[in-house]
Amino acid sequence: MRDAIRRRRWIAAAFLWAALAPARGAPFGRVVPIGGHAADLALDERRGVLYVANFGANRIEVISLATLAVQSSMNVAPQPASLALSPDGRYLLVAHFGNFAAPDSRTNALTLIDLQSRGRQTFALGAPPLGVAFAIHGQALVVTAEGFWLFDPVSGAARQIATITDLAARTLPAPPANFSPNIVAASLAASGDGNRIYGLTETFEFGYDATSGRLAILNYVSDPPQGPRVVSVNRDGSRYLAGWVLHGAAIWDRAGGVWNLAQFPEPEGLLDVGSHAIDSMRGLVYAQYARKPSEGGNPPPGPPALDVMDADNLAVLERLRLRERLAGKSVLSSDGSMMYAISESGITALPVGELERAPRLKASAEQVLLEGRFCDRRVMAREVTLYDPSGSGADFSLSVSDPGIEVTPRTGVTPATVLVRVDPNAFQNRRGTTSVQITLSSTRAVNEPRPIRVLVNLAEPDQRGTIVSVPGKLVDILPDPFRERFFVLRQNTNEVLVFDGQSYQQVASLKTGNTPTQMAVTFDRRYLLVGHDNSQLVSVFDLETLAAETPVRTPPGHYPRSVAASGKAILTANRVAGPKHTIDRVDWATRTAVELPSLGVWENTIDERTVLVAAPNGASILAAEADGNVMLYNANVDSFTVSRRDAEEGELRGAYAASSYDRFIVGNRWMNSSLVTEAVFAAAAGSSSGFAFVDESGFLLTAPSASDPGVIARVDPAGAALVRATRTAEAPLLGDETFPFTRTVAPLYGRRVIICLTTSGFTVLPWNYDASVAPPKITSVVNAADFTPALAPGGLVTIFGEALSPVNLATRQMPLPAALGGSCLTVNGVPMPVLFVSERQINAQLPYNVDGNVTLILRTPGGVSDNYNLTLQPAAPSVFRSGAAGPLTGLPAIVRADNNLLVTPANPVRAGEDIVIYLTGMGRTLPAVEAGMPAPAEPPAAAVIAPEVSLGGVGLPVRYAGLTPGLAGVYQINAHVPWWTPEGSGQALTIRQGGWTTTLQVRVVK
Amino acid sequence: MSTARILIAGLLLWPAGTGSGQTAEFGFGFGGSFSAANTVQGPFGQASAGFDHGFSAGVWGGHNHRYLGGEIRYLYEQDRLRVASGATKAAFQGRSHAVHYSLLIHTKPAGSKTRPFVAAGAGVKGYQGAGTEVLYQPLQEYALLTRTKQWKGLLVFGGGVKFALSRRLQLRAEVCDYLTPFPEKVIAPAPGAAIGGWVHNVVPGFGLALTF
Repeated sequence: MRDAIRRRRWIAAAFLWAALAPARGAPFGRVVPIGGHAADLALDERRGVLYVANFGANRIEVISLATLAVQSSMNVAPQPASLALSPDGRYLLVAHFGNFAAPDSRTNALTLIDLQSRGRQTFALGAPPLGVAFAIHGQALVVTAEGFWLFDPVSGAARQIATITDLAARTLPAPPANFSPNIVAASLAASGDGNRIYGLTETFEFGYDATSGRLAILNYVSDPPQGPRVVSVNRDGSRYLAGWVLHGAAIWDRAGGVWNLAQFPEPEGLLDVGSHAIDSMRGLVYAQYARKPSEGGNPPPGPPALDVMDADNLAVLERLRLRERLAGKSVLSSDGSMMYAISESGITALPVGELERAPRLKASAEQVLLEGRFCDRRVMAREVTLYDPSGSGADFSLSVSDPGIEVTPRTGVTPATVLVRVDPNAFQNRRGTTSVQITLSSTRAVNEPRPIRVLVNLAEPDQRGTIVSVPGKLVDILPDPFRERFFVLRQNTNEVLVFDGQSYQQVASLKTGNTPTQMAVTFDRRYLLVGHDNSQLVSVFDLETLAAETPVRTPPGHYPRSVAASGKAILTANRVAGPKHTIDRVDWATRTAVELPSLGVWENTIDERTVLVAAPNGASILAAEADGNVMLYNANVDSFTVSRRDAEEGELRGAYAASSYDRFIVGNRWMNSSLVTEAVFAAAAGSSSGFAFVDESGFLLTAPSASDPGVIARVDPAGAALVRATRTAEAPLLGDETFPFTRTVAPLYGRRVIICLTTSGFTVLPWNYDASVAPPKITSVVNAADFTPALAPGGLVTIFGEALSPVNLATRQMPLPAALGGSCLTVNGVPMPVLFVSERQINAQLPYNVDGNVTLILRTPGGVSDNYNLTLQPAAPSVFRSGAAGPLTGLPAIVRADNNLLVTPANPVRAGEDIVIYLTGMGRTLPAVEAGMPAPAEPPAAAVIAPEVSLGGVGLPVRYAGLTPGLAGVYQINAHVPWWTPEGSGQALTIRQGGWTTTLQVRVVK
Repeated sequence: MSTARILIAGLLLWPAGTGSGQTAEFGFGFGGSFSAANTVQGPFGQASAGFDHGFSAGVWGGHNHRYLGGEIRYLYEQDRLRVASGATKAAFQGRSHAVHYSLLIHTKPAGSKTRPFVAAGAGVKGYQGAGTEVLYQPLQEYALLTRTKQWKGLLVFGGGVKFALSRRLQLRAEVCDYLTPFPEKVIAPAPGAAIGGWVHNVVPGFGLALTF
């Protein structure tokens, strides 16, 4: 009996494990085991084989590209560590690493294999070889621990071109579980055109230019070690990846130098884990590397994954599951269809050219915002489409971390529409935005699907602002100094998002370096500057054209996390891979930055978490450091004139700002021109998040936590006090330990609105958000098609009045939200979906389940409107007058099916053809559709009351009358125009439905 | 009325036969097509409407007595529809088909090397707008250039000269004026606008004919 109970427990535990264990997708690629450890590989496409150096087994494995099986093996001298195939495909050069410590004999050597005659020659080397690579001129660059050699495979002669003095090669035997990347610790690779060779050793990076014969030490390696110990080069040798760093290499031309374009974030630096290859044809990098364990020492979750990255800034575009970890060099086939990478078992072949046809699971939205309003406590719903870009169909399984969110269906096969439903009652005591993740998994998809972020916001009437959903990790916001637009820094995709300040729609995206951290505008207001945490450059964009300009290069190891421009100097605050973090000064003419020897009379040593901000008048730059220091650069003196420490470590965080009136903000401290704290604002609500000066006053934004409402207050400059604190719809961004300073408030140029960076994206606040607001007043309600009082259930309506909304805002959300911009409409208590709100006009949709005499009420932050009584007909068709042609506007939305153009006098209705009439107010449908929801396509929602249509007195056969699929509240009538319909320029088109008639004039020809 | 029907009706007008002393003639020719624009009186001003200059091609069959002759003719013209006012102009692809019977009076008897003639006749002409419709046509407040067909009665007046190149081959040079009422469906006056009058379409051309 006890055994049976125990067995049941085990079975239950097994089921539980199966239920909780994340589903694993189908791995990408195929593993070819070689029975040993692969040290290097060379692709011989002419013979259709891949040569793999089997380090421990003393063999060169010959793998067939057709069958991906080891077809033969060449026994060679011990420890083949590096391979290279001559450009003419005749010679295979093998370097043997035999650096045994005394008393064992060293066996360092080169083997030259003539692949045509099958002849072999072995050449002894005096020093351990680190790598070999052939250049386009047919000679191989051989790098040993003591020098660089050019080896001619025809004559067998080797010529030393440089010596190495400071490199100590590792010795054999090595401790167990060490592999060739740990032992040889070097890698070489040639560019696709064979003109350049780059290499990475334990102490330096180097480059060799075959056309000039020039050899150069390019860089000194950094901490953590540059793992994976692999070098990848692009086609023309202008870029190369060494370990975890992507370098731009202009050393061979007049521009000169090598600089860090981008790097993999958080590398652990393991030499034997990972690999990469640059796909110049597609502008991509395929990479796997070891990430630093998270806090607590836990390794990053999940199986090994191959990141598909943008080759410009290493932004991760897609993540693919691998069967096992990669462990060394990778090569791409010449047509870019296959990537062959050294992996734990030998080789992994990855059909990267077939990626578009591989099953993958993706969601149509990264983020879903569900806003419940005080007037609507019904279940909120939003649809998300899951799809497989390859079109082959991937299975999916969804899991949600919060029981208040329901997702249906939870499993299925793509394409599928998933309904996300939120019961506001489950979140009734939360007034900020709650973030919940939906995790996607698939057994068939080769990618790691990105989770969907569900944001639930239940703001109260006193919480001001309209939330605009923007997915991603947003870290900074800046208004354009001269234009009604603003910039948001999206860190996880390495881009600046440019938004229009009128419509709040994104109008452009600017590609930055890796992990952008902060923005600034030059003093001449012509350029936008972006600092980075994983690129040693400052991105520069022309504010007029939004085109990328030549970036500013920082000194080696300097990551310009923060940048600010005064009238005299542009400064960067850098995280430095070295003993101290520094402030650099930018030389704009050469677009380079140099480390300042000192900061005035003080040492140039700053906290890693330092932020800079310039006064708008260019007079000064404030440096705020998380360790409590503050400094001030004075543009007139062209030096730092103030350095103080009035705060403890960690005390300074959150907002930072500088005014043109010698006032500064750090956290909650209001400082004077000597950076002496004049006042400390009593935080109205938790931590400070953002501050923006407007003339001598300003706005301070705070929040207790990310899931609470924020609080915005004006600053009275006279008493340095906060006034009129007002709750916002959701919390602003709050800093973390790595980046404690945040900028989240951006008053736009026109002083019409304030944009705040908040949990869901940004929140739009009217300039006078804290003004006493008048209650809304409705003056008329008409249909949105022809602006007549004909109204019917489900129809789109336009409400005219006063104080209808504090902001102008339109939505593209589908389903339509129940409230927008703080305005919420109800008809007989039933919420109305809203499309557009402004001070004097609202466009909305009437519910389908109300008719007869009804009462409409509008609620806004200013109060509640008087009751507005309406009479709804069962059907009241009204044709949209939204058409425009040349100077003609207000044309009826009638389209000729023949040419899909609007009917106009120049494009008349033609007898014998079909026309499509777009209208609203046709009443209920079958199947029924909920107001605000997009109309279905299969089956379409047909009008319950059939309309009659006539043209010039001739009845038109109606082929379909009902809702237009995909739209809310928009109907269409598809009708045929018989050939006997009379011609004329003013023929009456009449639509009768349920006792209501609408007539308009159209031109008919035959 | 379709073009085919008009052609059939024309053939029915063909004389039952050519008797003794008569010669038959079959020919073809090419030429230009020139029209004067008509005035459109709109609510806010004037514009001109009509046809651009184009080209013509035709075939005919005829019978000749000593000084008199008669022939039935088909003429194809390709000339764009147009409306213009000041520097603004709108155009639309167009063509026409004309079928008519004309009486020819020669100044020299049959068999002469050179035979000047005058001609007068009647028939029908079909106008056709053949362009691609657009949402907005410039000057549409005056006239709308329309993709449709319209038949109009036709009067033809003209003259020319026939040169005998050989016993059976003749070269012809001629000029005719094709008159029809304005095709107000093809170039439709806008509501409130008016186009009146006749279309004078002058067609000069050359042709070759065989006589039997």
